[in-house]
Amino acid sequence: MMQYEIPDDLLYAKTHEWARVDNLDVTLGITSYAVEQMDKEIVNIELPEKGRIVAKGESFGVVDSVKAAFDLYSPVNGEVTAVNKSILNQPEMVANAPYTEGWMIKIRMSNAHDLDDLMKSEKYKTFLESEEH
Amino acid sequence: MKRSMLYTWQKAHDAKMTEFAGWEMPASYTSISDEHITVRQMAGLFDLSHMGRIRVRGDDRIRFLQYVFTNDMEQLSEGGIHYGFLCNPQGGVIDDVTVYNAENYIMIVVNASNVTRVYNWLMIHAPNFRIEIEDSSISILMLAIQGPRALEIVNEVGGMDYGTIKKYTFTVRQIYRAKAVISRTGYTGEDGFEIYCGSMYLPALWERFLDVGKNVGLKPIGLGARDTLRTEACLPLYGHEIDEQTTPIEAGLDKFVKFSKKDFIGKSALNFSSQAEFARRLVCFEMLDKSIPRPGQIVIFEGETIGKVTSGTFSPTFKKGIGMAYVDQIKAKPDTPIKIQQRDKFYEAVIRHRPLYKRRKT
Repeated sequence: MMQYEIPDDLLYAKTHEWARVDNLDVTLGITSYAVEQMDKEIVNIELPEKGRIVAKGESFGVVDSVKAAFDLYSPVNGEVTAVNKSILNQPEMVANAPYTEGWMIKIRMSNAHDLDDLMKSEKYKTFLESEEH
Repeated sequence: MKRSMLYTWQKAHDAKMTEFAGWEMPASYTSISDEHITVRQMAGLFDLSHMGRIRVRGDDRIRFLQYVFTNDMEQLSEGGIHYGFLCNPQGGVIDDVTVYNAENYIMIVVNASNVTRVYNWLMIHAPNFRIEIEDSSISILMLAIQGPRALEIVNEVGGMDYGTIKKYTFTVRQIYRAKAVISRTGYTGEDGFEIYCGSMYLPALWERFLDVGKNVGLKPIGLGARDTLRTEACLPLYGHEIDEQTTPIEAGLDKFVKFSKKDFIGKSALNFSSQAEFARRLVCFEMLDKSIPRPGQIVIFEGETIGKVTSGTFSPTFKKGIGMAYVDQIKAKPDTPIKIQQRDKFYEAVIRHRPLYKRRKT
C-alpha cells in the first residue's frame, strides 16, 4: 500500500478529515489520503462563514477535484470560529500542505465527548489499509 | 472485471485504475490536468481496448446499415467514416457510433457500455438481410493518438506520410509491425488518429509510439482526461448527453440524421420531433462563479427550473467550471444567464456557443 503522511498528534475521521484539538477549539482539514484520492489536484473549495453552527456529521463544505466533488463533514457539534480564506483562492495549498497551511476551519466544540468517535493515527492507518482492499 | 492487454504496462507505469463499463482502465497516470494539457499542447496516447468493434460482412451490408443507422450510407464512399446513431423506433439512442466503410466489410465502433446491447440490436434486425455480424472487440484492438504533434509522431512510427488521410476517412496500411486501420478521428477536439490492429500487435505498437513520441512530449492518457477533453469540445458521452430516452435532435446532433433517406429505424419519430417546438435542447455553459458543476444538478433561469446538467467538470484549459445541460429550448440561446443549483446554493453561469473549445487550424 502507498505510504501516507499521518501525523501522530491529530485525530482522524472515517471520512478523512483530521482534527487538531486545543481544549475546546478544534482545527479541521483533510488528510493526505484524501488529497491522494483527488489526484492531488484540488481546484475549488467551499467553506462556511464564521459564526455558522455546525452539527456533528453535517456537511460543512465541499472540495472539488477535476473530476468530482467531495463533501467535508464536521466530526463535532459547535460554532465556526475561524475560516482559512487563503485556501479559497489558492486551493492547491491544501494538496501541498494538508496539515499546515491547508487547514480549513476552526470550530469551538460544544461537547468534548464528540471526539470519542475519532481515531488516533495508528488506528487511522489500519483503517486506510482496510479501505484500500 | 475485464482488463486490457496493456494492463501490466499500465500498472507498472503508476496508472491509477478505475472501473469503466466493466473494465479496469487507467483513470490517470500523472494527473488529469497534466494529461489534458499534454493533449492540447503536444500529444497523448489512449488505450481504447474497452470500446467495441463490430464488423458486418455480406452483400446487403450497406442496405442493412442504411436501415439501422441514422446517417446516409449512400454518401459514404469506401475509406470513409460516418458518425451517427442507432435509434429505437421512438428515436431514442441505442448508441452513438462511427461506421467505417471498408473494402469488403463495415466496421461499427461502439461505446464500451453498449457492446452487447448493440450486437443484440443488430442481430434482431439482421434476418431480412444477407449479412454476417461479428463482434471483433477482442481480436481487433484500438488506440488513439491525439494532439497537435500526433501527425508527426504517426509519420515517424510508420515511416511514411499519413497526412494524406483526411478528417473522417481511413486507410488500411502497415504501421510498425502491424497491418492496421488508421483513421483521422478522435474524441478530444484535437487533430489525431485512431488506430485498429490485431490484438497481438497492440503492446508493441503502444510502446513504439511512446518511445518515438517522447521527444515531442507524448504521454499515455487516462480516462479522466479523456472526459475533460471531450467535455471542453462538447462531444456527447453515452449515458450522460444521450441515451434511449434522448433523441439526436434534442442533443443538437441533427446533422447526423438524414431524413432524405428512404427509411430507417426511428425516422418517423425523429422527423416529427425535429419539426415540433421541442421541449429541450442540449447546451454548453461556463461558470461565472468559482464553483464546479456536476451531473444531475438543476439549471435555473429567473428563478424557474429549466433543465439539468448532464456533464460538468473543471476545465484545465479555461481554468473554470464548465458543463453541458438539457434546458427548455426557448432558453437555449448563447449568452443566456443561468444559475446552477448545488445543494442549497445557486451559482452563476452563462450559456455559450458550442463547442466551448475549438482547436486553432494550422
